[in-house]
Amino acid sequence: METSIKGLHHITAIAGDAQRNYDFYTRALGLRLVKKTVNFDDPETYHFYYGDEQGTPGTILTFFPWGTKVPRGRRGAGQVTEIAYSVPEGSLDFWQKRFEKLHVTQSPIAEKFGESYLTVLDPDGLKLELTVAKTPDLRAPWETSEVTADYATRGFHAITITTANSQATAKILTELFGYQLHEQEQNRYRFVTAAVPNAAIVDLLEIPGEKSGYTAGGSVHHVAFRVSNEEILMAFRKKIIEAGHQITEKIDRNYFYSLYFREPGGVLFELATDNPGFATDETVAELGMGLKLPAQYEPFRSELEHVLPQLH
Amino acid sequence: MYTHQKQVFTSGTPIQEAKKAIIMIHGRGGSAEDIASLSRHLHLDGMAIYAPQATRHSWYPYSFLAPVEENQPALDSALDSIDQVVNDLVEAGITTENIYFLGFSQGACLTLEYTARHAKRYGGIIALTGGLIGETLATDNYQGDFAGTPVFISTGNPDPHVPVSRVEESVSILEDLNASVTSRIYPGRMHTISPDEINLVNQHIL
Repeated sequence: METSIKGLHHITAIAGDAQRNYDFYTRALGLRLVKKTVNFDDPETYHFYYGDEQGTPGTILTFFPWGTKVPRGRRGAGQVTEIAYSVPEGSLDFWQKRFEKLHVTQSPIAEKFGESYLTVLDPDGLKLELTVAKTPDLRAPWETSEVTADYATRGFHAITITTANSQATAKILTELFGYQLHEQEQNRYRFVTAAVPNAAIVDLLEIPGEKSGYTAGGSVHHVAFRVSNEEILMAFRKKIIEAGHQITEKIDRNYFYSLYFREPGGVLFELATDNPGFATDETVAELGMGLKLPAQYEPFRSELEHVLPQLH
Repeated sequence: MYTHQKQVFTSGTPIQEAKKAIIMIHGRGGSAEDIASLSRHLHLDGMAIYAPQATRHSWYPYSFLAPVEENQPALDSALDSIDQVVNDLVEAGITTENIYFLGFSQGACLTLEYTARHAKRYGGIIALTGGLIGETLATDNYQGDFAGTPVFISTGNPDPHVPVSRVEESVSILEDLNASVTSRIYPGRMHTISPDEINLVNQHIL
């Protein structure tokens, strides 16, 4: 029985305009839209999943596009504040030029833990990093005509959680999830799981007295960690309850099974399974093409298609 | 372009034995049975539950913040559906001060819009994430006197559909009509019903 979490599964954030979000992630960043569905708890809002060809766990960034009226969030304590993608050695120059041409807000290349990275903001202000990882990343990229394999993202490298006090969150990562503290640079603590070669890093950035963030447009809503199957999911559930945390029942998200709990630092954590994946209601070749609805909303398809914004 | 066919799901205490009744109004993509199942969490002992079902599972096609004419004729037909349920209850011997309303999301908007257009002393009004309907609010439509009817109204901050500003505007209009309003804004809450709302509703309204 696996006792370690297999790194990141997916990250879900809130966006504004659906079309603008779709354009940025599929065109500018060159990800694949692997599923177009609705928020199962709020069917008037789309749920977009972007990732590699198959939407492999560890590559999936998902969005609830709340429309143009959504206020912009504020980064702060109790949030995932940075999402780092892994990109190939020598590709940062390409990305810098590309973002410049597309008028994407970016910061100069910087370094942490000996890895070069470029910071960019998506159209809603979500902070992304493109990092050249120290460890080899052999994941196959999704390629587009403009973003080819030499430059394309390989999936997640790391996330950063900002916290006023990192102890309780660190405890979850180490005692429950099987991560280990590898390195520290000033107030940034790098936790890594040995269970997977990539998407294995969580940085805790400790800023004492930091105000809580405001979760709205451009904010991460939750981060999901990866487990192989439902049996392991439920074993983790037991472990988390025994450690004194409240956690939901198992929830069927159609493409994975989930549990949710709020870690003591305030971030909503999810655990999600590898099974069944995205090729259940569409073939791998067709992923992302149709509006896919869970069974409970299928009777309202025409109504929802009417109210959801058209993508082109 | 559509209107609603009358369809009402009933549960709770049979109407012949009930002294009170609650009209429960589902949201977009919801159903009468779904919203009625909330009764497990609410203090509805001895109440008849009447949950009307929207044709096409939606009371009106666009956002409640869209110009009202874009949501016609469905919106007028939806308001009429609620009016018919109220009349059925009155005919069955339930007085209006013993009629309660509860709606979630689109159903909460419809609940507020209906009651504000027919303000009188009701048992109580529960609008879980909703506000009065219209691109701008046509205050001329809001007539009558709530005579102290307890009202609960909430939203998240932010909420994907119901802005805080619209909730605040609705609260002031309801108060002008003499409603006794309890409102809550929940930072970071998704578009859902939280346990705190259920507790407050049980405490203040039911």
